[in-house]
Amino acid sequence: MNDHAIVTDAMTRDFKSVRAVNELTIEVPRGILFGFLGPNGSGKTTTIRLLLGLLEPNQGRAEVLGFNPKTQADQIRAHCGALLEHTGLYERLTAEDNLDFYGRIWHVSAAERQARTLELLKSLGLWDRRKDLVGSWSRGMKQKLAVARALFHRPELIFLDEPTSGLDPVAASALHETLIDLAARQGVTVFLTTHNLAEAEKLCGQVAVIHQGKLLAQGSPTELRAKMSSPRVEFVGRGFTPAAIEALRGYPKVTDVAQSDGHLIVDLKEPSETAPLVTLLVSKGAEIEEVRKDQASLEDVFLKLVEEEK
Amino acid sequence: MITDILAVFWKEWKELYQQRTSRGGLMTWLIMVALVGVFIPLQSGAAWVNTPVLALVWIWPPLLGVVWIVADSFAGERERHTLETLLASRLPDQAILLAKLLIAVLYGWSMEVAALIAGTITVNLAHPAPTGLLIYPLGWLATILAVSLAAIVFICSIGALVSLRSATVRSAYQKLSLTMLAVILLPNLALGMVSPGWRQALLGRVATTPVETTLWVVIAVLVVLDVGIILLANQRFQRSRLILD
Ligand SMILES: Nc1ncnc2c1ncn2[C@@H]1O[C@H](COP(=O)(O)OP(=O)(O)OP(=O)(O)O)[C@@H](O)[C@H]1O
Ligand SMILES: [Mg+2]
Repeated sequence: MNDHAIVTDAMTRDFKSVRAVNELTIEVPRGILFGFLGPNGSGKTTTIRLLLGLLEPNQGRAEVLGFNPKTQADQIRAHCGALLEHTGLYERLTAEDNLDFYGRIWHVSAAERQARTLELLKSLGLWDRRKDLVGSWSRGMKQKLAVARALFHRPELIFLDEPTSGLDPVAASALHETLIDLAARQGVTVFLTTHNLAEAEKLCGQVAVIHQGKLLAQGSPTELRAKMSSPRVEFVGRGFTPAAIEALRGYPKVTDVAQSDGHLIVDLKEPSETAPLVTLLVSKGAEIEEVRKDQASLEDVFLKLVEEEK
Repeated sequence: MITDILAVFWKEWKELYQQRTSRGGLMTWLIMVALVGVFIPLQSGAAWVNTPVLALVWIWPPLLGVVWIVADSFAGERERHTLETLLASRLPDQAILLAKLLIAVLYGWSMEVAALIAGTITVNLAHPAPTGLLIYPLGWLATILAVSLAAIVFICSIGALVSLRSATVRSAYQKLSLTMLAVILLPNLALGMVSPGWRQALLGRVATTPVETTLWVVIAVLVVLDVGIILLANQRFQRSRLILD
C-alpha cells in the first residue's frame, strides 16, 4: 500500500437516485501525475470529495496516503492541497491576503509565507496586482491564483479539479512544467481532472477513464492507446502486385489488406514490427516510399471507450 | 488550535474591514456606536449615567448589529463558493466554528463597550456636573456588560447554528429573524400558559427582587443556553453535510 498515494476499493456514492461513483477501484502510485478523465457528470469531482473526506461513501473503502478518509480525514487534509470545483478565493481580500490566509492555516512561518508569495506570484506574472481585491480579477487570473494557493504549503498530494480551465496557452504550458517538475523532482503526487485530453496525454504517467461513476480503463496513455486501437499500417509506394498482396494476406498477423489510391492499408491483429512486412513486399517486387503506423490518440481512445459504454 | 483560531479570525477581520456594504462592517459599527454613545446620551443628559436602566434598555443595537455578521458566517462562504475549499484545508472543525463566533461576538460587544465609554465622555462634556466626573455605578456597569455579552453570544451561537445549514445569507437572515421573534414571544406565551396563581406569584417575586439580582438570574440562564447551543452547533458541524447545497 505504501507505494500508492491513493487506493480505492469498490467505492460507491449515491445522491438520491443518481449513482455518482459506482464501485470505483483505482490505484494511484506515488510521485506521478495521475489524470482522472470522464465526461461531464461522470463523478470526477465527487471522487475528489470522497478522497478528501468531504463526502462519505455509501459503500467501499479508500486509502489516501495510508489514511482512511472516513476516520482519518484530518490527517489526509493535513498532507494535501486542493483546487476544487470552484476557485474558493475570497473576493473581498487581496491576492496576497488570500495566499497568506492559507499559509497561516498550514502554519507556514511569516518569513516563509512572504518568500513563497513573492515566488509564486512573480512566476505567475501576478506580483504587480497582489494588492488588488481578487473580485476585480479576470477568470484566468483567479484560476492561476487558486492553483498557487493549492501548491502554497508544499503538500505531498495535490488534487486539481480542471486546473487549466480558463488559462491561456502560455499559462497552461507553464503550469504543465510546474506540475511535471513537482512530480519528478519532489515526488509530489498530483491527481488531476481535465477535459483536455492532449494535456492528459502530455502530462500524465497514468490515467483512469470513468463514465457514469464506473471505471472504464486505467493505465499509461501509451498502454491505453495500444490496448484500444487495432493497429494498422499504411504503405506508400509502387508495384503492389496481386502476388504481393496475396503474400501479405498469408502473413499470420495480418487480418486485412486493402488498396486505395496507390496506398496499401494493412490491418493487424496486434501491434507488431513492420520490418518483416516491408521485407516481404520488397521480395515480391514492390518499392516502398514510406511506412505510416496509425496511432490512435488518447482522445480517440476516450471517445471509443465512452461510445462503447453507451 | 489557538493558531488555527487566530488564522481564521485574521481572515474574518480582514474581510470585515474591507466590507463596504451596509450589512455589518466598520461603517455599521461606527453608526451604532454614534447612536448609542453620542446621540442618545446627548438627549438624556446626566440621567444616562445616573439612571443605568437607560443604558440597559439601549443594549439592543449591538444585538441587531451582529445578526448580519453571524448570518453570513457559513452561509456567506457557501454562497460565495469558498466554504468547500476551507473545509478541504487542515483546519479543525472547532477552530472554524469558534473563530467565526469570536469575530461576531467581539464585533457586537466592542460596540457596547465603545458606546458606554463614548456615552460617559459625551455626558461629561455636554452636561459637566459641578460635583466632578459623572460615571456609571460600578456594579451596574458590570451587570450591563455581562448582560450584553451573554445576549450577544446567545444570538451569535443561534446564528451560527442557523447559518451552518442555510444555502444563502438571505435565507439565514430570515430564519434567524424568525428565531429571534420566537425567542422574544415564547416567554410571554409561556407566562400566559401557567395558572394565574403561579403567574401572580412569579411576577410578585420579580417585582420585589432588586433589578440587578433578576438580571444576574437572566445572565445565568443565558450562559447555560449559550453553552448548550455552542455544543449543539459543534455537534452539527459535520463536513460531509456542509458542502451540499
Ligand atoms: N451534491 C449533489 N447532490 C446531488 N447530486 C449530485 C451532487 N453532486 C454531484 N451529484 C451528481 O453526481 C454526478 C457526478 O457529478 P460530478 O460533479 O462528480 O461530475 P464531474 O465528473 O465532476 O462532472 P464535470 O466534468 O461536469 O465537472 C452528477 O450526475 C451529479 O448530478
Ligand atoms: Mg467536476
